[in-house]
Amino acid sequence: MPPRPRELSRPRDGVWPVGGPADDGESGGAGASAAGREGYARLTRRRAVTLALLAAATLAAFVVDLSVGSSGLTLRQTVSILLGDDSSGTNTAIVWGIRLPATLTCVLVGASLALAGDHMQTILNNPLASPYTLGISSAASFGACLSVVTGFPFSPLPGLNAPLSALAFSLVAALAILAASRSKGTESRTLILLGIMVDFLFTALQALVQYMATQNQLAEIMHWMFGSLSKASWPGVVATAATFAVVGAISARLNWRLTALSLGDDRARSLGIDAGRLRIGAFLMSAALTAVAVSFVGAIGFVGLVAPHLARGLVGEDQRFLAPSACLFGSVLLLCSSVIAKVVAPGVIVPVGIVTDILGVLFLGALIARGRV
Amino acid sequence: MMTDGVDGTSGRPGTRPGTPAGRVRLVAEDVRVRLGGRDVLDGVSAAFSGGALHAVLGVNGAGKTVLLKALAGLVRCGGAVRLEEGAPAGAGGASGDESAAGRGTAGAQARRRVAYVPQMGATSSSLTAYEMVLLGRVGDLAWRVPPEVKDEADALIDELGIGAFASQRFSTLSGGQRQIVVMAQALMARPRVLLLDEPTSALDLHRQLQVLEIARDYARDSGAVVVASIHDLTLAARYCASVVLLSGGAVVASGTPAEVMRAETLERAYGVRVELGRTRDGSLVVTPVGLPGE
Repeated sequence: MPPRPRELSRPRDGVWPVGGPADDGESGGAGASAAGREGYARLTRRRAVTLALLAAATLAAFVVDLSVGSSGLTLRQTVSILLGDDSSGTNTAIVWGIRLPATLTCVLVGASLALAGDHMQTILNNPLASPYTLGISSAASFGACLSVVTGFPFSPLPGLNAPLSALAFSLVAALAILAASRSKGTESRTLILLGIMVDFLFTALQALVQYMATQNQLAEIMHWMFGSLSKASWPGVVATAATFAVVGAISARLNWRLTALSLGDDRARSLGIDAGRLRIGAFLMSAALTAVAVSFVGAIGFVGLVAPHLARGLVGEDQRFLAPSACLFGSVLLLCSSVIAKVVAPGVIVPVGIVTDILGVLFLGALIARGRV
Repeated sequence: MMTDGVDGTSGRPGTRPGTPAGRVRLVAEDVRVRLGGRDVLDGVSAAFSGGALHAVLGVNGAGKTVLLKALAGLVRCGGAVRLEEGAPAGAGGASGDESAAGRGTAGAQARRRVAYVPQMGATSSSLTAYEMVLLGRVGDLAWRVPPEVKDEADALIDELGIGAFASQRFSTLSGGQRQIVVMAQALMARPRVLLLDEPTSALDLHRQLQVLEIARDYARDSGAVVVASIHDLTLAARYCASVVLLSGGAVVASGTPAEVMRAETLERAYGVRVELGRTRDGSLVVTPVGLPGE
């Protein structure tokens, strides 16, 4: 054996210094763990700054979306009306009655879908998971279409029928996926396959309903399929906000456990986490978020797939930062889509779901090209 | 031959305060596991004493991983798995018989009694190595990471030599680095039983020895039971106090490495001809020399 001088340098106590000779070229020195801790502190600070910047971007997009519209209000007028200026009754009605609900809907729906997508990707350990890919969006869309054509569930308030029906069907879809996964195990692959089945089923049912619909009903169904903010209302804002607040608070308490679940079942269970129960709980919460969001604006599903990926690329896997960043990205995406939908064609408001999908494709394409997914 | 080593008095820097010095014993009695209509484990009985490293040996499919998972309570099994606490050592916890394979309640169980470390080859997590280590105490982490958890992480990172790559993403680490990070994660909870699934299979020579020394020293210093499934018989003979040889889901031999590793036993279990020797310090060397028919 040809002697190598390094081999004589083995320390007497039998322990190699940090790294050791086979350390893949990285030779750490003394105090390397302090570097690890400092590195972690630096990382945490950087993530906090990123979060703050995202919040600022969301606020900016919020104001811009609020001030863009067909009635020609300026940014200054909008802000002063929001701050309590009541000099013009018409403008006040436009801002408070039409624009603010729509803008808040963007923020809340974007955040809800993003949080749902983040949870689904985390608990299924699968970057393809989202409300869209698991069929929950399709179920909600079908519910709305069915309501448009048949009047289901025949509530005294006709305006509430479509949201109620959408909510009911998305919960049915989520419960079906859960029930099947309970007997067949909550393995990632099982859930994804079930989601694909659900998606196909409701897409087919929706096509059937469309086939039977009249011309007028078809026009309204289109509106639902594309996802549109034109029916945004204060009750919708309140319902979405309440759901988001409850789910957000619960998942904030579970953040480290959800992070651990991203390591896979065996590892998470060995760390003391009831992986099955956590997954089912998080899945139900995601389904509720999706159902409520989609039931008021229609199928705006791509946000739930793209926003978590954008956030993960920036702040990593730690749910304390990933979940809020994903929510902010979702809000920004939807706000920007809304602005574009309003300005792209004069006098026409393009359904925001179309813009969201195109923007989402661009973002996802950029992420894939940079190898971040 | 490796013995249990001295009691937990070694002056290694990582001997953490508060570690109960009481010995435990992990006992498996007639453990049976059926998976996919096949008996993967067919009545396995074995006992592993605390304070030492033990190996589970056998060819692929012999049931090594399933046995470890059964010991960890990760698969449903017939028979019994017990963790017997030895001399009461104060902080250790309940004494007497207790199911080691408790269903993991996500609650305030800060210290896990049983830790299972799977092979982490394919994990694509974008957590950093430091975050992976912190997650070992996931039950104690709140919105703010408690400083004492960071202190413990620092001590382990120092001890295991992780510092140089602590800030790198786990998915960018080499196989050996990953294995050591995951072991650090498991050790964060100071488990009474540490189960390692093929910890050395994907590693270079230096890392193989490092991982097994970490495992053996942890057992020696804390009195915990450490069981690893190992393919390399020479490594197992050098580091393990006892070995269990599995074949077709049943124990064919168990005892000290010298008792188990006899030429005819190994030839039957592995289907190869072997030659046995000794290193200069007396440790057993097993060299496969050919297939039976040659």
